[in-house]
Amino acid sequence: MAANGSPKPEPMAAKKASPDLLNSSFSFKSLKLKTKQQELLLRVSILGLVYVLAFIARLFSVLRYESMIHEFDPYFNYRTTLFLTEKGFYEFWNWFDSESWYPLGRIIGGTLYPGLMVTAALIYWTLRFLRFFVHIREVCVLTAPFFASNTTLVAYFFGKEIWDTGAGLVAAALIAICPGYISRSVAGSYDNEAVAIFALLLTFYLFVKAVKTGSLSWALGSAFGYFYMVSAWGGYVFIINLVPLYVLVLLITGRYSMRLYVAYNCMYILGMLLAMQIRFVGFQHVQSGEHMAAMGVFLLMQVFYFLDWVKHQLNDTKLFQTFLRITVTSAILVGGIALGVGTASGYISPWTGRFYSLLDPTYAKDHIPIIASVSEHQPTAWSSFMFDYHILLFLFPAGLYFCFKRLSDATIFIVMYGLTSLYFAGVMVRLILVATPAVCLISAIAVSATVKNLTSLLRTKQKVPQTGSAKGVGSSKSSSKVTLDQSQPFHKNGAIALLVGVFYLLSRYAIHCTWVTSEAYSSPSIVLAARGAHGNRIIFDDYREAYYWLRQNTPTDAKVMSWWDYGYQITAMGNRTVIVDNNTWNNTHIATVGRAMSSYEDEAYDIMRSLDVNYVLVVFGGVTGYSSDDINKFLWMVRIGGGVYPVIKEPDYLVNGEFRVDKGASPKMLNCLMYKLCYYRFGELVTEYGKPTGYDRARGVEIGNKDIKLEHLEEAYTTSNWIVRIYRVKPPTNRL
Amino acid sequence: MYNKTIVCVYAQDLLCSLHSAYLATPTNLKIHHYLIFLRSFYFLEHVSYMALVGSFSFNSFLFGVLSCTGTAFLAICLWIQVNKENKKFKDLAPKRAFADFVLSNLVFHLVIMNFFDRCPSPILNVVFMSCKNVV
Repeated sequence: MAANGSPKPEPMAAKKASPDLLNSSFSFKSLKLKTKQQELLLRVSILGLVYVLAFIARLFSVLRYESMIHEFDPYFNYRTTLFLTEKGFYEFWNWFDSESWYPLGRIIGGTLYPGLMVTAALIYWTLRFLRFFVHIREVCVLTAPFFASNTTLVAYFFGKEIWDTGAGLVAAALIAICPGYISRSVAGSYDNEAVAIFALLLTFYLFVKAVKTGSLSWALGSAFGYFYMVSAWGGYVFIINLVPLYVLVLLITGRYSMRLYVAYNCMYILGMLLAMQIRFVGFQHVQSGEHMAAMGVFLLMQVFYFLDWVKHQLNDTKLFQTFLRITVTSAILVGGIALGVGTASGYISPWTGRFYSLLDPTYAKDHIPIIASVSEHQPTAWSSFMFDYHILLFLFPAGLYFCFKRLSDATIFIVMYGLTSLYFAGVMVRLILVATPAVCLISAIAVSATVKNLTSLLRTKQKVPQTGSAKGVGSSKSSSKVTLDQSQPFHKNGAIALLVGVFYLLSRYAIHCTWVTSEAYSSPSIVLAARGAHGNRIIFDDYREAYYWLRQNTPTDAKVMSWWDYGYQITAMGNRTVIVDNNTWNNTHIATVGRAMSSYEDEAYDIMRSLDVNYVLVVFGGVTGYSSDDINKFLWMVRIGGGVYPVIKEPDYLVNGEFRVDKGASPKMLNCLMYKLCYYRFGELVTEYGKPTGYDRARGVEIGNKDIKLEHLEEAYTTSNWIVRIYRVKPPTNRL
Repeated sequence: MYNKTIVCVYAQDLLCSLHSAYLATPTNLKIHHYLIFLRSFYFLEHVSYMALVGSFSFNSFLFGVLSCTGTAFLAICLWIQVNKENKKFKDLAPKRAFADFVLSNLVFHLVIMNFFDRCPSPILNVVFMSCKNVV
């Protein structure tokens, strides 16, 4: 008591001494919150910091370059958002665009997913209503980081549902900086996935909540979440197949309950109805093979419900068993027959190529070269997994272990989500994005459970000596306590060492994620940067230079032919009609362009005249060493063209199976249109000190055909670093 | 002959016990059962009509089928949540269940009006079309 008593008189004396100290001591006491309030404050501040972190981690490219839209697809989204804000929703919904896919045109209103554009337009109109007059481009650029921050919030709530608040916080922190998600949601990456991952996680969270509580309003919420997902991205097929699979697993493992019935049926019916409002999706929910699993499980649920009701009414188990057997067999029979009839008669359309290639990865390479040519559709390498996930890769199995230890409806869901999404992430690089939330959540469970166990070990250890000294009863007890005391220091040291290890791992993860974001995922792709000889940074802004030249120096009704990669950018920035663009909905049209690019100049001229082409645009990286140029993509043009026009044969362009552009290249290659357009006047240029003229830096060889003459085209513009070259198609000569 | 008698006896047993159990349910729930039965009947009628005549207006076929299914399902949900015998839903107040039911029905009907194509009477047709455009 004496020890406790000594500090007491001092504050009393201090109180009497000065009124300022009195005030400060009072405020000090008022700051001393109860544990629950402290915990709440801690949680809210952590979530706030994570929210801000998720936003600012994605701003590297805005700080380094400028606030612009990246890549190719976002330019189309930007153009449609611009149209929406200028002309209104009705015009947007019924828009027929004659500026792309000349002469076919494209029904934009019916062939896009409007979720992203409508979201950005809503944010724009809200800001304008609050008198913040921002340009729509700024809103578009910053939509992705904003929704990434919202995703961290949803991840927190989801983690809370599955495990506890600790896991939720860790999940939010992990997903805020995970490179797998950052890659598609940096500022400027105005693509569907930016909003879709938020909608995906929201739908899953609301559905799990609905299954847990059995309330109709949560199920209604999940139906709306599903509607948002359908409006945002074609990947909604994942939801409409994962949720029925999950319900099926629950039914098989005997976890059927009324809550599940209410939740799934409401989400299915209302979600399907809402989804059919999107014109692009249309009636696929009742007609396409990819959506039939959901319907099958829906009917199965009705059967289960009916059986449950009959079981409840009857009290005789024997009678019920026979009835059960009859009903189940007849239901499966009827379902099988209906499915068979539907598929055979063609009413239920088979799986489309895009999704079939996920089940059979070799399908696209043989049958659909366009899908196989996209670099993001290639199978994932191990290095990509490590690059995008880092420590989450081995925390994932640890989290699975914890989930299996505490099985409930919610943990079964997250396990299924994790396993299926990881399988698909292994098939296609692009789908690492879909697996990221599951991996983050499961790893968060592992981290949170481990840290909790370790800290509880530390805390109980501290209690033991106190009880030992306070009680001190019986020699046997004291001796056992002595042995316990002797092993405790080991446990304490072990726990502390492990905790230090966990914190070290997490800090390395944070460092890795920031490095990856800064180096790999923040490049705008439309502006290229390189290091000069003295280490200074050189910026290549050739793309925009070329598009603005097109915009300002060509007639407004000019038609531009280029490979489909650049179509969206040309229409958005150059404001000219293009022949093919990134939508790739018409394979024959693209094959025609491919055929034109790979034919001799005379045949290509005929094709270009038939398409009314005025300008041709090619991308050439020989001067700068830029390797994603049209010559490197040329074999895909040949393959796609050859897929429709058998006159184009791939072996004609190869020498011994090898693709060459130097003297040893095949004669067809040296004289095709693409070669001529890329290397026109290149033979006179010295690109590197000590190398001969016409040295192609991207391929590392001296080109074969240096003396190129163009008969039907003339050079219109070449950008300052020769990256983009534009040619004018000459009208036919007068007949003499 | 032998199998036939067993099946008959079994079916009779089943129906008898079901009937006796069913008589025990209170009257207010029987209304639910009647409505659900009505909707299932209309659903079957709609599907058979489509099978016979062909799905000319797929919109209206979907409208008929899905409205039957949806309203039947929502009635079933209300019945589940209100029925005092269901232990899992004991702590869900009947008022909350009914409010959920009303809200879901509102959303459901707002959405399904989009599929409404045509109505036999021209006056009603005009009325419904104007409602649809407003929505």
